Amino acid sequence: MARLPKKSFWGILLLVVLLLFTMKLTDINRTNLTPPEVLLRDILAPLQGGVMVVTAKVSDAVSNISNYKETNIKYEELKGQVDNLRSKLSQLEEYRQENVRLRRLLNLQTNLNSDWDSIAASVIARDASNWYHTITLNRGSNDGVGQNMPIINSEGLIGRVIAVTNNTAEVLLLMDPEGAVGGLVQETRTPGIIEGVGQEQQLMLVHLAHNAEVEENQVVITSGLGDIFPKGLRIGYITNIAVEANGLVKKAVVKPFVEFDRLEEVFILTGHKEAK
Amino acid sequence: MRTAGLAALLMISLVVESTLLESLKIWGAKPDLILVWVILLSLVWGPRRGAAVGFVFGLVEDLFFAKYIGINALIKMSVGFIIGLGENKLVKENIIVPITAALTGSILFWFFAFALDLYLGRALKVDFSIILANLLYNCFVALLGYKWVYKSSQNGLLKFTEQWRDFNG
Repeated sequence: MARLPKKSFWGILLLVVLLLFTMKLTDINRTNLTPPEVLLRDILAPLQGGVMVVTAKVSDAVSNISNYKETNIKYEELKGQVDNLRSKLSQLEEYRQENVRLRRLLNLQTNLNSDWDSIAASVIARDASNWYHTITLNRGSNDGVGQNMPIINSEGLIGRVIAVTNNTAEVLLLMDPEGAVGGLVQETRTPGIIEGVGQEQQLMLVHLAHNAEVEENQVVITSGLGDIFPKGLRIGYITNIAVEANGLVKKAVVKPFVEFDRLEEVFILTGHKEAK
Repeated sequence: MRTAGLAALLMISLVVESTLLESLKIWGAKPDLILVWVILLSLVWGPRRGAAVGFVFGLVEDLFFAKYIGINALIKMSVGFIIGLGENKLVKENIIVPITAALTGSILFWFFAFALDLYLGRALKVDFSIILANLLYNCFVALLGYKWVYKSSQNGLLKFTEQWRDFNG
């Protein structure tokens, strides 16, 4: 077995203390990456993008082949459904037009995107570890992306930018335990905090008042508090409600609208006044 | 040459971990390729070089993750050193060796990870099933990679010349 000389011992001790110090300094909320980090990410980004495209193509091809038989059965089934749906479609068109008229009457406006500039981005990588839940996008500071910008897709809120290089942006997903955001039950306007629990299809709405009127299937949106996320972004719907152990507050299990494991194209909201 | 080979191994592992392995998850977990390399290299190189390679690989990984820089460097350096202590006691040709080493190294990894997370004040929320799957997955990868590492350390890319032998005490 190796024996350490006294000099090496002090050297290693110094190194350990130094590392403990740096890891405390470089937590998830720091604003700027150091040059070596930026360099490393920018070098690896095109490689990651390439491998991701190839992986997606291969897995598509494999699933196409293995699903052939199933697809045939489904095809027959769907042909029947098409006729059925055609008749429903004309009925729905009536509803749609009615809806448009009512909307105009009530002067309803969705908050989403009305005051915000957005750019589209593709997911080029996912987090390499089992610890965090992040994705890497192919847009960076060259495209005007900055820290804390919200990320959405047509389903709803995805997360926020936590690190930017020239050509990439790292996004902390809502499902990460560190990605908390202010939430609001749309119907009853009950405020709470949306927290990730590290699972892909589950969030928690916590700090709800004991007498809060929350029910299953109610939709949860962003509250706009905290100044990072705009108000009114769709988050998910409530599937379960429980009283916390202390008996004072309630919490609700929320199923997110966004499928975090299937993100491909997303939008970065770049017009946030704080981030610019 | 050896340095270039190790650097390429490290870069490829980082890219593969962040892309390809995402679609090869088992029970929600993927293997920690970097950790497996550190364990295997320590096994053939001994504690000091094991610790050194663990430190460098971990540090580059930290810079790539860009969060809590030093956490992987410290953990993988420790794992490299501890696993490296088994260098002379184990029969390297035995298939049980890489599996036992990978299992021990991975358990140590999670132990240190939880300990450092307490120090950082960030309660690590990882399901036990993910840890278990990660342990098994690491053992599997170690089994696949062991032969190559062992052969290379004998007469290939990873071989150290005689003048280096003394360094390892």
